[in-house]
Amino acid sequence: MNGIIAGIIYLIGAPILGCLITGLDRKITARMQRRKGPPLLQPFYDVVKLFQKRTVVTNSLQLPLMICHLVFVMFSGFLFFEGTDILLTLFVMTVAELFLVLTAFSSSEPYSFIGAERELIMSMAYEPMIVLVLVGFFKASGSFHFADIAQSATPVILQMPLLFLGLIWALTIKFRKSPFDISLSPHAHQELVRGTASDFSGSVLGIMEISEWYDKIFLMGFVYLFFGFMGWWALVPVALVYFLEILIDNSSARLSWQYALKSSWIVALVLGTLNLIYFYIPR
Amino acid sequence: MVSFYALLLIPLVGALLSLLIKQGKAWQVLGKLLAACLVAATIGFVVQHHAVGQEFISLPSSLEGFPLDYVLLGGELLLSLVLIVISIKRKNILALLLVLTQTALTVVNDFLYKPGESDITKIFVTDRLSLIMVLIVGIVGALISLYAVGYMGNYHHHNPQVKDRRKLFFFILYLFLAAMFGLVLTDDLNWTHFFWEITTFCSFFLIGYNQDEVSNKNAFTALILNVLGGLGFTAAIMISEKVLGSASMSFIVQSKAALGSMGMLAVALLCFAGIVKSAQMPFTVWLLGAMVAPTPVSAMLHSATMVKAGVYLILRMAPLIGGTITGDMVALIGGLTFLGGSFFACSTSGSKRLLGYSTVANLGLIIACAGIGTYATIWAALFLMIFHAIAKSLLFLTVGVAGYQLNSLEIEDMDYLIVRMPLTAMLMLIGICGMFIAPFGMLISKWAALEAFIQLSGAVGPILILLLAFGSAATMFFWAKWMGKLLMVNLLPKNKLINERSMSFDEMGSMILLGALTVVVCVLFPLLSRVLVQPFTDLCFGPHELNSGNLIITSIMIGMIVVVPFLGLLIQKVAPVLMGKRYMGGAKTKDNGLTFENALKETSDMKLDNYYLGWVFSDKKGFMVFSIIAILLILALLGVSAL
Repeated sequence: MNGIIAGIIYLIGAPILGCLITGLDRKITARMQRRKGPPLLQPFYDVVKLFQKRTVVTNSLQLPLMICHLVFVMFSGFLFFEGTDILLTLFVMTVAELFLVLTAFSSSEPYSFIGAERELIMSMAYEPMIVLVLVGFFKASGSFHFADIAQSATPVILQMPLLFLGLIWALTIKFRKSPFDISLSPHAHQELVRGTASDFSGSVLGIMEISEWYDKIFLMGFVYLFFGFMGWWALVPVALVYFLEILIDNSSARLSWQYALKSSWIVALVLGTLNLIYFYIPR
Repeated sequence: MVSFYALLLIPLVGALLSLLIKQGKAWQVLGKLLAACLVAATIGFVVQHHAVGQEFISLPSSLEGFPLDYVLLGGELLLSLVLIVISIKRKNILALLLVLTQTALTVVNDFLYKPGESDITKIFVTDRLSLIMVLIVGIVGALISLYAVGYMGNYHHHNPQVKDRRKLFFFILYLFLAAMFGLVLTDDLNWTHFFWEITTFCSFFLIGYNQDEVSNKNAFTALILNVLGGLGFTAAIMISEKVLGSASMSFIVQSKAALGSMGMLAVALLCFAGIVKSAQMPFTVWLLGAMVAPTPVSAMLHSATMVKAGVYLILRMAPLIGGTITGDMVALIGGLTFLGGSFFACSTSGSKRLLGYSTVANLGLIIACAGIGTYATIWAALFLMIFHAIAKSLLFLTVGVAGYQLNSLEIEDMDYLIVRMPLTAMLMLIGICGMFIAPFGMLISKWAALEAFIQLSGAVGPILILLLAFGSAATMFFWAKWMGKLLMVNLLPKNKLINERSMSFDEMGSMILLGALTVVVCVLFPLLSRVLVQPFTDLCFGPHELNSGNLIITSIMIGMIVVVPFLGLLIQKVAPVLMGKRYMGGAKTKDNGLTFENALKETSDMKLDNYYLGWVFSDKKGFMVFSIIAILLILALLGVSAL
């Protein structure tokens, strides 16, 4: 029962919190660039405006597929906090990702198409790392469930420091931060118009923004699991990790997708293997 | 007993009839009838036997004293004779030598090693694993043969250069099904081996159907490799007869403690035969070469027959090899093949070849599970096998019709398929979803396999985890970009649209049934688990509890994945949207962006091509590396088992 309540709290709270974090992100980013930046609630105003516009789509599948994307993003986060097997949650996350890619493909115009291809390549880049992190969670806590891992007796971070670094790497991709904002960047400096989202407008784009808020909170949940032993204080390292992501975003230049894929896999292989070896050494 | 005879006789009758009856109207009716009978016999057989664990099926006592063993030997010699004649005719020395060795070994085995006459009560057996196999062969096989009735007519219409040998084609096709039933229902390995050789024989003819240079070459590659595997099989029989005094599969499986190193070598040799048959690295070539044959052949080889025979044999050995070094080696070969197959599929643009690599990868995963041989992995392996059979056959059948309608099997030519051939594209999408998306069975099984690998304590655990983690990341890439091609949407001119009504009833019907089956089996999956799969795993490893909570969530997800897209379409209906122009970077476009004016003021077609990442995933470079590692692992498999 507790699990379902946690899941429902996520469904209601995640967009609010996600919106605030995105607003704060823009504010901090602006300060790092010596700008004043938009008001904290700017992302909210943006989305409201998007929904007030007439919905213009370029094909009949765009809106339905985007709705599927949102529903599955919400569902994956719900399952995660509800306490379902985290590996299963990961697979639901993949389904959500797939729907976003298919929305972009359905546009059948060059920028969305390349954006979709790159989106796929980037998810191929981060997926092994996330799987290995989940494997690590089980090895550290003996369970695949959110609550058990969070309440694990031994601090998870101490058992999987390398996987933690790997997760930060993967999150940089997931949050679309530079140097990995390859398929779609939240900033104005684009290379493929707006990549994956080139053809989205109005409520289609609005739904995508909301699903990104959900996704953000869901992914921060992974970071939280490393510090579960600290209770509410765990939010401090979680916030620090997000700050680190903003810092990385503002201090690095975009890489080519080839390099992003190669480096991510090498990092996942090296960090993942080393950390797994630690778990398999007989003690 | 009636259902048992029906099961073996219906395909044999079908084989005979296809030789006698002319291709035409009558055959089309008969083909439908045979498929229906086959499905009915399969279901009848499974219903009759589903409640019992292991049960020997006795042949009628009137056969007592009948020289069954001579029938067996005669049959084997006949097969060899045909192959020898063809090898000589085509001047293939290697094939000739291998077939001769095989024949010699069989004769030596029959006269010197065999402990006694075949016992008519102990030849045939059925248990839950056999039933699962019978279901796959019977239902999927019947649907493919139904499809073939319509498809082959179209095939010869579109490929006039190929000689019409449909009589032989259907003869071999039904013989193949009969042999598969025999293979999964025999306990005496001598008989299993006989049926095993028939499947090799049938695949040789089917792959070489077109009789051009490439087909002949590939048919011989398949023959040579599979006879090599068959040699391992015969050697295993001889060893087990010598060491254990019996070639009964159930006896071998029960005498785990008494196996010793020689017994283990026999088991390893059987695994080797299975690895070759299911086209694992480095033997993958023969299955990829088999693509030259008409599509129903590929569907048959990949889903209902042939490769499933290899997996079946290894699954039988699973309780013996689980937790041994032999098992670890088998698991590593499977895991390596999973990684390699998934990687190479990324750089493949031909739809059939891609399906081939994906088959190889999935079989690799099944074999990895079988090699680990624990309760959870065998459970996962069985479901992988079931779902793979259904989804992969559906994919081959849809690719087949799309192929001749579009005049191309390239994925790059499948742009806008959802607009051009909506039904085929939808079915193809269901097939692809069935291959890799949660909540469809494949993904659930993959998840179960991963959880089982994580809980292993040995060194093989983390290696398999890494292979699986990187392999499945690649899986998403190659399937999703294919889906993307199919789901491109635009208003197309009339001449681009394809009239799907021009497909034959047989093609359409079998595809729709398989599509429905993919969804239904997902829904009924807890039932399937309780009635067939768990009883088998219980029998092998003792009863275990499975986490039912996750099964409930997958059921919710099945509902979601069916309902949510329609909900989206409904919302779009209720709140009408405006159709806008797509963004084309300011180019002067015409026909909704299907054409544009290029720099020379000429009209160019807009063409969007997928990424293939040849620089990382090319099979030209990678195949060698994977093969060398796999060969080392196979040597290790045979070596460590004999120690």
